[in-house]
Amino acid sequence: MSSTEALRMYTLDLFLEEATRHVEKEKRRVYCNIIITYPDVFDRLPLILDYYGKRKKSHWTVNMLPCAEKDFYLVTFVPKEQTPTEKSLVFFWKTMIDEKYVTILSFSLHSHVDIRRSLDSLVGFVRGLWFAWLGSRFLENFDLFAKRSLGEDIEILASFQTAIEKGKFHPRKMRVYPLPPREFIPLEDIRKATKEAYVRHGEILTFSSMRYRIVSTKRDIHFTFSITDRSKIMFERGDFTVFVTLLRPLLVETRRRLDVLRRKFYTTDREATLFGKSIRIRSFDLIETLVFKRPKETEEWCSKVVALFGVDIPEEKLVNFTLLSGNPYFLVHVVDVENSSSVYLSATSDEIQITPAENYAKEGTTAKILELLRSKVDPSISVS
Amino acid sequence: MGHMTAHEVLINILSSTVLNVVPFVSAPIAPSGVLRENFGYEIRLPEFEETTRELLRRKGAKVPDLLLVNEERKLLVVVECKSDFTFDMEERLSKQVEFYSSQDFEPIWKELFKGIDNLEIWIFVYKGLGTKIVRFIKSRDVLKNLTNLVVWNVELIKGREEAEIHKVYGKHVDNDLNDYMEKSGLKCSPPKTDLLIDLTLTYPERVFRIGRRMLAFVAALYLTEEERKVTVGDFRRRYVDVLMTNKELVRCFKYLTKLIPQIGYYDTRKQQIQLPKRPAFKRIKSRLQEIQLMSEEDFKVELARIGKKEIGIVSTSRPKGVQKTTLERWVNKSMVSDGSLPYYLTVASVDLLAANI
Repeated sequence: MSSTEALRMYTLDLFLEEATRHVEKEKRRVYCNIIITYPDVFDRLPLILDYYGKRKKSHWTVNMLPCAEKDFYLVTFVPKEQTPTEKSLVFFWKTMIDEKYVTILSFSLHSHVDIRRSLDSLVGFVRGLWFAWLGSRFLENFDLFAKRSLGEDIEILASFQTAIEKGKFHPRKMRVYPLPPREFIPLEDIRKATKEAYVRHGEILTFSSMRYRIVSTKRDIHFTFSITDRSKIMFERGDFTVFVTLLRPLLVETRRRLDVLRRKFYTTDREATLFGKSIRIRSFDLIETLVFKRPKETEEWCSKVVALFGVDIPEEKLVNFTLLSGNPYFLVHVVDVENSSSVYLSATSDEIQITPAENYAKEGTTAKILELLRSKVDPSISVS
Repeated sequence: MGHMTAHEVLINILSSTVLNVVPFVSAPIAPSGVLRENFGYEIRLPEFEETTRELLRRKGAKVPDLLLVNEERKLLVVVECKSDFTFDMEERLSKQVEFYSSQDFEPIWKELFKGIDNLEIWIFVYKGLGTKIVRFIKSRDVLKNLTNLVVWNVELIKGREEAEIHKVYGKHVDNDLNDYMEKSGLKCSPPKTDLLIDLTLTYPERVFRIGRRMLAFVAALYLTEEERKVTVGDFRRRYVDVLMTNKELVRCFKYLTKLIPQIGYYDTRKQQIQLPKRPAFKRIKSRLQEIQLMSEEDFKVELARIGKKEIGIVSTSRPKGVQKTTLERWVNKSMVSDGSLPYYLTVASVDLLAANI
């Protein structure tokens, strides 16, 4: 039996058992990424993977093969040019399908560099396939989330190697909290520090990734893992089986966020005939918008929005067209050329409104705008 | 800076009262959608193709600015927005209203909106024009006698982004709305989305809006060539507010790609825009903004200038293939006189000429 055929015999439970063995005996790291896609894109995925592999510049031939269990797939990245140093990369995908989205939990035991070269590249190329958005605020409040799933008796400590500080000019990687590297502290302290920085100096600190240590002396649980604001998770060491129980609530949370981020323009069409010609009559049924009210303590709310969206944001691939700019009213058409989607953003002295500029504003675009608003305008902006 | 025409502002205000805008996180913006929320009026956008428009034109009508329907009361409202009221417009308005209330229009709207029994005509104007229009209506017997004609005017409240709408003439069939309009009038905060439902938009503004929307088709990375192609159908599917005809939309696509070649190339045969692999966003944006600021005349001049440049390129290119070097080869043989009559003096034309003499 070839190695691929052997791997296809896996089920999720078998894989998790195998991964636990690797974690315990070989101290291997397990990477879990949450990827979202639409059901129609998922159906066409084998064809899309074929296109991806046939690109001249593509390094890989990608195959998606069903495994022994339903909704469990083996995804292989086979290098086009076989060299002794280059080997095939293997991912296991567990999928959860509902009528709107397909949530993919991608597992891998390969190195971070290999995952970036393979999976990240694929997700970057395929329209309608993206890493689920969690956001900086979720990372800051992770303890509140984890306690709901793992119990109140657990202690959650956090640390970070680098973080993105959204500075006045450009975001830059830096340590944002005066800590010795890799020291774990309670998240409450981090929240206090970020709040203080905002109140004292008006600085908004955001986090792109965080490492967590989860400890329960009572139940003898301990494990360490890191998670990014785009739901890329790396399990480092400890009780892998307990860590896995955290994944399902995490999937539920990412799915919940998608419902908030999805903004649509609902219309119904009706056919009529006039002079023997068929005519379509459309009615606008619903335009879903996102509205955020200004908190009392936030100052210069509108001017900050104007400063942020009044110009293009090339690092975020946003092209902004100011349509109205008065006092105190601002309307901008934000075109996100990364996700091929656009929204209208309007701001008055006490509220910000995000409206879809097309029949379906992509979730990634809304998420990106929310994260920008949170990091530059008001730290309280959130979907939770 | 973008701008709306005065006519479009009126359309935008009224359409905002019938749109169902539902914010998610916090409370809704209260006054928006008040006509829909409280009185059940909904917007209907018929997509008339060129032939239907032409047939309507022949019958002396133009497509109304807005069509509202109240299913419960089986009522259709035809809205005409007037941002100005000159002598020419008096005549036009009179003709429009007469047509909407005529027997010619009745089968049209009854065909389009089955189950609707009543028709009401609303004229929606800025505050200053309200009295002028009312005076005009009262001076015309045909208009004065219409029982289903209503005039609303709107005042924009500066600094509050609010609009106050009042009824200045007529009586609504819908008693609830009539009482409401007579007591207090409508207040709304129109969301300033730039829809493409106004058919009177100037070309620079249309191209600016379509260009911005076209940018949303652009992606950072493409997997297949197909992803770079945008057809009229793709555009319509994505933007549900496009009411212009396919022919008109194609024309705008052509103008757009002609004026901003960086946004893509228009394939006339396939009727689609081929987006570039790596677009120069800065250039596209600045060019779109330049176009928006153009007047219709400037726009035409610019198109002509670009057209000329294209012709120039063609004329200077060297002909391919065998070069003709001798005079005989250059001169068309039929052009050299052989003593016969030229084609325009054939037997038939000579007979005709002789008869006339």
